[in-house]
Amino acid sequence: MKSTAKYYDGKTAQPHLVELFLVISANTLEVRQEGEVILNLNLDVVNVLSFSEKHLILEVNEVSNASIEIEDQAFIDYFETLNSNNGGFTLQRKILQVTSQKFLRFFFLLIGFLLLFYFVLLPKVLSSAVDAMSMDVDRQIGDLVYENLQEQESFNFEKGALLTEFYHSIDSNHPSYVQLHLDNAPTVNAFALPGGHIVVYRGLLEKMKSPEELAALISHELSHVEQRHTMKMLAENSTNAVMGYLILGNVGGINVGQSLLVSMKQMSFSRELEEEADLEGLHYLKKWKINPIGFTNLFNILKEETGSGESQSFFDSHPALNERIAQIKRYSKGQSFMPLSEKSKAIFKKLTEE
Amino acid sequence: MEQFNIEGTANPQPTNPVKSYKLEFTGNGMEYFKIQFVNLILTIVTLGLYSPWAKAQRLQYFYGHLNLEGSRFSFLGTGKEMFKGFIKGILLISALFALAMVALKNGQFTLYLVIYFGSFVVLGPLVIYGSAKYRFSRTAWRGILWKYDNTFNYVLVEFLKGIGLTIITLGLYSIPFQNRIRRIVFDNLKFGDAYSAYSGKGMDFFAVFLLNYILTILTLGLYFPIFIRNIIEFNVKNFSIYKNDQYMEFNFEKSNCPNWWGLFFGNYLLTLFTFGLYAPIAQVKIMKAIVDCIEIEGNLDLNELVQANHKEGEATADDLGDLAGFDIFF
Repeated sequence: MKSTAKYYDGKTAQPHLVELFLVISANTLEVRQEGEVILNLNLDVVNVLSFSEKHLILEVNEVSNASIEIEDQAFIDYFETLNSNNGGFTLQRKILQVTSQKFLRFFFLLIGFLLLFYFVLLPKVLSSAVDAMSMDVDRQIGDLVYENLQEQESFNFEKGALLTEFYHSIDSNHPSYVQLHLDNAPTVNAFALPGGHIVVYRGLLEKMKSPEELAALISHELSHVEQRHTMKMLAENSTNAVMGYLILGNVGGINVGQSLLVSMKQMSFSRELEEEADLEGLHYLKKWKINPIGFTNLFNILKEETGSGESQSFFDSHPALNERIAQIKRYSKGQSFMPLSEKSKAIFKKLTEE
Repeated sequence: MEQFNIEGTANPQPTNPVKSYKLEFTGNGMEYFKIQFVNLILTIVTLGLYSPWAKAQRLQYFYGHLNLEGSRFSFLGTGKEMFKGFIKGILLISALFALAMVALKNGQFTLYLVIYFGSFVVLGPLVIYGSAKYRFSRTAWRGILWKYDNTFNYVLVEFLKGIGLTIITLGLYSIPFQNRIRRIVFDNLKFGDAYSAYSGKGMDFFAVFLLNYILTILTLGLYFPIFIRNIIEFNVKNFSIYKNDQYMEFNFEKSNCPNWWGLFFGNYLLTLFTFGLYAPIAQVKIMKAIVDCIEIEGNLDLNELVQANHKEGEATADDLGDLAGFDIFF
């Protein structure tokens, strides 16, 4: 094979026309200027300084910076087939040899797999991992947070004890680690910490009209504790942060898209957990033989407070209230229940009195 | 200046005719995307350690597809060099941080402050100087090497002047400061035995910036692509290369330019909706657009450029530059 190229002697930018003779058997390139052989390049180890689909610059001498710039397509194509180790370009050339079709196929396969992993497999793995962890971890975290809360919030310990008594009266199998507390703030809400601390705000308690509502609230929060929802949310949030940074952070640095996607995923996960808490709560009420109407009334209280029931957006952490009410009604069909004991009713009266 | 006896001629050159130099960017979005995608995977899998090699790939691609008068540029740097520089950068910053902490622990608050602020003040010029020195010493065209010919003192003094002015003007100077940095990097480069000149003036840059900025605000951001183009135009027009009385003038020919507005917003939207995956293709498109707009005219005989520089400098500051998010124009 014979072709021409430009030789730069490294002393000036003046191009010198040379002829290239390929000696395939020895895998060398003979370079001739005006008929005389001026050098022989071993194609196995020659250093590639620059290349594209239409050009190739080979290093002739590292010290003098002499080089050869080749634009002969036949030679370039042949050089591609050599697959020899030519410095940092080897990987790049191998990549570019893959056709666009093959590449796109692999690319979409990989993206598909990553999406599957991230949205389907990973949450399952995380859930199982949290379930496998000992409850002691939950309790340690919960205790720590509760300690801090005590400094910031004001608790009514008398009523807190009453709440706990109420819970004991409706659940004969109550686990010892569940403690209820009453926060004096007028917020209409309640929450559960990992490990068993359940905090009910005075605002919500005051709006309750029947002890069944309190029972429903406790069953819901108890589910959060038993199902270890807070721990699962923590795991979800931290892996989202890590994955988001690792992958999307490296891609284009478009943080808007990244946080949008991640927020939606987190909110969706949170809604899932709330739904689970509702359903598990119903199971508890069934076990305790308590009228599930308490749940419906509870949601009506919340509806009044937030003034909404209908719309559901991707960014709500809880399912729409009407949906939850409908779900409760569906799952509590044909349930048999008994009225609450006199003891429970008395405790409830005391709680909502002052 | 060294004198080379080129082919035995000793006659002074006659004045060369003025001509146009051909500058092309032949990159392809899909190709570059393939390379960047593999870079991305390797970087993630190695938890970032592969970055210097990915950067080498990126630079090799962009250099290799830049065609001046029929010859391509070469990037002679390697991932290994830049990785070593990266490590050195980490060690330097850690050492400074450790020193500052020791001072703090020993109650020497003033010393702590000195080290803390001193680091910022010195790291800036160090990054600029080192990055430029490394990058240009690894840039070659037809075997002829470039060189960053300014001294560290020059960079330090100019940078400190800039900091001083910024403080005095309560931040207003930060805009012309960009021009100052452009000048620090692009003025007085050596290209073989030719020199570069960057003649942009701070106040002129300020005026251009301000005008475009106001227009962007008035159009609620729609003018932004043109803003960017006009800044690039300012930079290009003030750049030139000369050798004795021969020159190469760089110009930005708006009539040759593609539709900047379409290009810019297209790139932005596509990148946004693909969560960044489109970015490599966007980069190639922008580079192509910029190079298409650039026109070079002059009478410098490129064939007579003489090798006057050698491969030197270390990779440290180039990577410190990346750590600080400092991105060089080329």
